[in-house]
Amino acid sequence: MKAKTIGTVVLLAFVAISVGYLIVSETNAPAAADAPAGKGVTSGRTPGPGGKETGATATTDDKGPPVTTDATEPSHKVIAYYFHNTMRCVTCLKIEELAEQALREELAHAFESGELEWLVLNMEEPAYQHFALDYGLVTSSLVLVNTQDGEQRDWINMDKVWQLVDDEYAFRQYVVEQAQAYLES
Amino acid sequence: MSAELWAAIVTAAWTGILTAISPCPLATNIAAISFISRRVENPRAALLTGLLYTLGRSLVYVAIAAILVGSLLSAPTVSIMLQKYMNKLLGPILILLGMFLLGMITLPSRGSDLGQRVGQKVADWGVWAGLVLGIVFALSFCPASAALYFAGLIPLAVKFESSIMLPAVFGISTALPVVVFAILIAISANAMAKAFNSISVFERWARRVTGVIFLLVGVYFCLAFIFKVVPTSLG
Repeated sequence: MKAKTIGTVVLLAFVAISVGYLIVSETNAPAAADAPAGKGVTSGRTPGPGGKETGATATTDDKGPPVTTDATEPSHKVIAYYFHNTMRCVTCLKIEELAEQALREELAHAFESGELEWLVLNMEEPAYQHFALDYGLVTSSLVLVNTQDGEQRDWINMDKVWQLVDDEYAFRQYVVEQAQAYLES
Repeated sequence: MSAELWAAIVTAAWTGILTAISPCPLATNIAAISFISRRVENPRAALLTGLLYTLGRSLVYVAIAAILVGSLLSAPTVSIMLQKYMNKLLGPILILLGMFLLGMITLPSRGSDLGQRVGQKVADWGVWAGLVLGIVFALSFCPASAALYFAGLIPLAVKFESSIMLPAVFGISTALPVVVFAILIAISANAMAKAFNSISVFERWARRVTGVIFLLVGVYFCLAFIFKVVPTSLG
């Protein structure tokens, strides 16, 4: 009986501490607009693709999301973003691993020349939250962005990765073909 | 119905089953199976709990589809919000439910007869708790279930202007593997308990095991999503 009482008190205390910690951490979380920019993005600009989420390729005249630019980079560049949540599920990690592996193995020359870049971002971090709306992301996603002189030309949410994740050959083909098409555009 | 709509129904059903069997909602599925199958003494009650669990899940998917189709809310906003906050709230909720099942906490039932009866009903964990559990678990989207629902099912529902039927089929399919498995366990345990002539002992242990599973899953969710001290990729 005594053990049960102690267990009850400990568990209730754990629940109270968890809820308190959750409230404090959410209250103190910086707002997206105030957050500093992280690697691979510049602060202050949060423009999106503008057009409706199509689930397929979208082209826009609008300025796209911020991209890294410096004088030594090629003018035409493709960025492969892997956006994830704080919760990293087994399938999400597999998609990330397969996509990066496919691009690095099949398009190694593009990585060496700087024409292709791989970036992994947590879209729950305040600095990156805007990407979810920019690209209409509902969960961990692979997005290819085609840029020219630091400005986004077009982009595609590679949403079929979720259906192809168990077919490695088809998965590689799907990812590499689209990246190749952007590199040759 | 057109052949296209039939194909959409099959796709919705298959997407739901894929959601249920993907590793990501494993922890909540284990909790649901143990909860539904705990009624060893009465497989019919287990079946009813399973049906209400299915109804709870379906209601959530239909409601979200209706909200997304009929309002200006965007799927990314709803999806990210639910993934971010529901998994954080789930930990404390599951711990309290586990404590309830283990009899560590009870609802105050002093006062009127009605209060006593309601308190007793809840304490007995009537089959309606299955409905609540279905609602809570369906709202707790993980990355895989969010991808399959928001990027797979919702565009299909929009295309066929079906904000009720296709999400409902999806909801039923997400619950089906869990409910079938749970009822098989309940029937097997009932048969075994009858063979050993000790149904009440089996029922008591089933309830304890369910309570402990809820506690463990709840503590895991707290450590993973609130304190972030264990990986969230176990599921």
